[in-house]
Amino acid sequence: MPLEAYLAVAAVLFVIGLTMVASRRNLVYVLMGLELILNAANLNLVAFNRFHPESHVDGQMTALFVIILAAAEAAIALAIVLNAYSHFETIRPDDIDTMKD
Amino acid sequence: MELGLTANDWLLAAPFLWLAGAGVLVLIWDAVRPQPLAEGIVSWIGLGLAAVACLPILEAVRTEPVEAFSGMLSVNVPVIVLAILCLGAAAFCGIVAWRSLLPYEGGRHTTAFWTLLLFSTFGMVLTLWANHMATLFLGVECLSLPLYVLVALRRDQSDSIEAGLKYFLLGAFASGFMAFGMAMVYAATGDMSPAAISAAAEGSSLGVFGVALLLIALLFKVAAVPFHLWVADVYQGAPTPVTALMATGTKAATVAALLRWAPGGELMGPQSWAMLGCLTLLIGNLTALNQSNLKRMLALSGVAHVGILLFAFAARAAAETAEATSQIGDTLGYYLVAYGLAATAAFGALELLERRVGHSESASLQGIARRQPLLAGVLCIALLSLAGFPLTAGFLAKYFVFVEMIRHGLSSWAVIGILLTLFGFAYYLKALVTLFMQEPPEERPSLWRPDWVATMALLVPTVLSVVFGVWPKAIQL
Amino acid sequence: MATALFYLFGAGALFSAANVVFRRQAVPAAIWLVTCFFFLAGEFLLLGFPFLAAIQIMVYVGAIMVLFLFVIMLLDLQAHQPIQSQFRHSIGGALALVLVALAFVAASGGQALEAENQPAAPEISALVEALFTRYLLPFEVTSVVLVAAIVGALTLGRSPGGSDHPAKS
Repeated sequence: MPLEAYLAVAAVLFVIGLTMVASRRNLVYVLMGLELILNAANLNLVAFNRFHPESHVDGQMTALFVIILAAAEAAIALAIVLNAYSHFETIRPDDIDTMKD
Repeated sequence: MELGLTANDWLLAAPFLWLAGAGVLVLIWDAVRPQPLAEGIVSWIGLGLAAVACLPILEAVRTEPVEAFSGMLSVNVPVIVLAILCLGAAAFCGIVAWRSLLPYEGGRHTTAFWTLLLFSTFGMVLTLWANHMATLFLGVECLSLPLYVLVALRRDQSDSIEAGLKYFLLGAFASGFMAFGMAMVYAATGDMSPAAISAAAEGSSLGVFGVALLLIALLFKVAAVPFHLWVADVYQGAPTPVTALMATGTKAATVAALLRWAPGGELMGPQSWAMLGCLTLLIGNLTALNQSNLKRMLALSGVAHVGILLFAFAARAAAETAEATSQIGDTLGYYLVAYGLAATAAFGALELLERRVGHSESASLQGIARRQPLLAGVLCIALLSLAGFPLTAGFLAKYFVFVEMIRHGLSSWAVIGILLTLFGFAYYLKALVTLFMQEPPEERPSLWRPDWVATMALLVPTVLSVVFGVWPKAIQL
Repeated sequence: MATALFYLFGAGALFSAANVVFRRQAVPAAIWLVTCFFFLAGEFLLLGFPFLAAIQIMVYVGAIMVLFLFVIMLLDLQAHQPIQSQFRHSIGGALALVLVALAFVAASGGQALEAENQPAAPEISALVEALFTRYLLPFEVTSVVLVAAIVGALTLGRSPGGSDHPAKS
């Protein structure tokens, strides 16, 4: 398995996640795109841990921490989304823009 | 397998232990017998002990930087001073929030506020001292996650929820970029320390891209142009004590992180940094000019300040020797302290004034100096320090940055910076005129009472702004 | 054999991720995301990191995506109705970006370590040892972050007493 293959998969996942976040159709889609971005990062970290044996378990450990932080972030994210929905009655981020520009 | 914690490990861990311990103690206390005053005192004691624990570290790092936890943390003089600044900012946030955020719903928010405040400060100090990418990522998340909640804390005000949502969306986006950028730098170099950044920036395009992504993520957090659009809404919607914490602590932590984790001269040369700084300063000033809401104005003026800080980065990119680089680090530290003191005083005064008139629109705050002379004086000195009026710390901070620029051959950019700074005086003066010179509108009777504790507490950063303005060496305690 | 599995899992992950984007309803999109995570866990297994694969499934699929599905159900207006899509415009942009990503990957080559040269994957004991020696600080910090997240989520999840609209949870 050549290295570029892992890089390619992670890069495409990143781009897909980025598209979901940038297109902002729906708050939950934005959050899912974010999870894709973090998973792309994890894939890179883990794959390159294998190819950089001198770094011992750095990549794997960092991937573990990214997973943990993604969980924490998802919890708070969804709490905020629920609050925003109950207040604004919409989950389109672009519709929530009341402050003067 | 030895656990093997060295003396250095315990030395650097002490502030973290105090902060986390206070946070957990407040949680447990509230679960057993909720007492807002006791919880507040526990939190302040925790912050104070953490600050006291920073003093031996300060002594230790005067000679050379201290590393701990197998290279996970690294402390030098600027970041320890900034850590004390963050602790102070958190303490002030608590004092100013005491009467406004905490009695909310009969004290039901109390625990969450203190715990989140303490944990966010924990994250700020961790970000400041991070020497490994995993620690940096953890620190930035630990600082941001509680802040997302703190910004959205006033759940009956749609502004607050909207601000929390916007802050979260953009902050999480930046975190994703940071994670992926870190992964790419690791992929290119196999190394996760700051040295990897320089190695990656000079290496293959994989590393360059990773460094660029990491840089973009940090610029998002710092609110440099073109990633500054979130600042105005978030600072306006958040409860003002939380805005004070964000303006002081988050900015200090993320700018210091940028100092350690941004590429030096390899990827972005001095001209690029200077251009970025100039744009940020210009756009910050231009947008601040149009604002009628003082919180928004201060938010955008904060963007302008980041522009000047980026000028210092340009000087660092042009620096030749390690000594010059550390000198620039000190200058950045001084600037962040000066800005932090002024921002805390300004937002704190705004919070106390807001309680009387309801919000921070200029129309409501006209002539408030006649009714609240002390607070208006505090706000006046804070605004003057932010503007860079002589005799304040803000003036000296800008002076040092421009001197560094000229010293490293960026004189033309320095001139542009000085001109833009003078141009920035306009909106500060406009605010001062509104406060002092205009006739106050009719006052409706309200339930407002003066908050003497907070007002007296605000004198501390105000006085320090002037003290550091005439005696800059005092900042090294 | 391992190469074939890599391509299978990789293609599966990409196909699932693409499906997340193109589904008009939130629940199927979330399920496709779950599938993507399973394929990625398979990739981790292939790379020789069974612990991380297990954590990926337990935490990402078992906790995070379950939470997502709960929230999608709670926002019940959007769960079964198609979402208005201005997505046509983004498709072109997305395709362009995918091509850019692939071109970039091709350009950054030259670092290939072929299958024969790969050293063995680290043992779990190495992971555990690192967790308590080198990575002790981040490990302890994650506990602080998790408590902060719990407190934060609970604070935001409580009903806002004293306001004039009903709480949702």
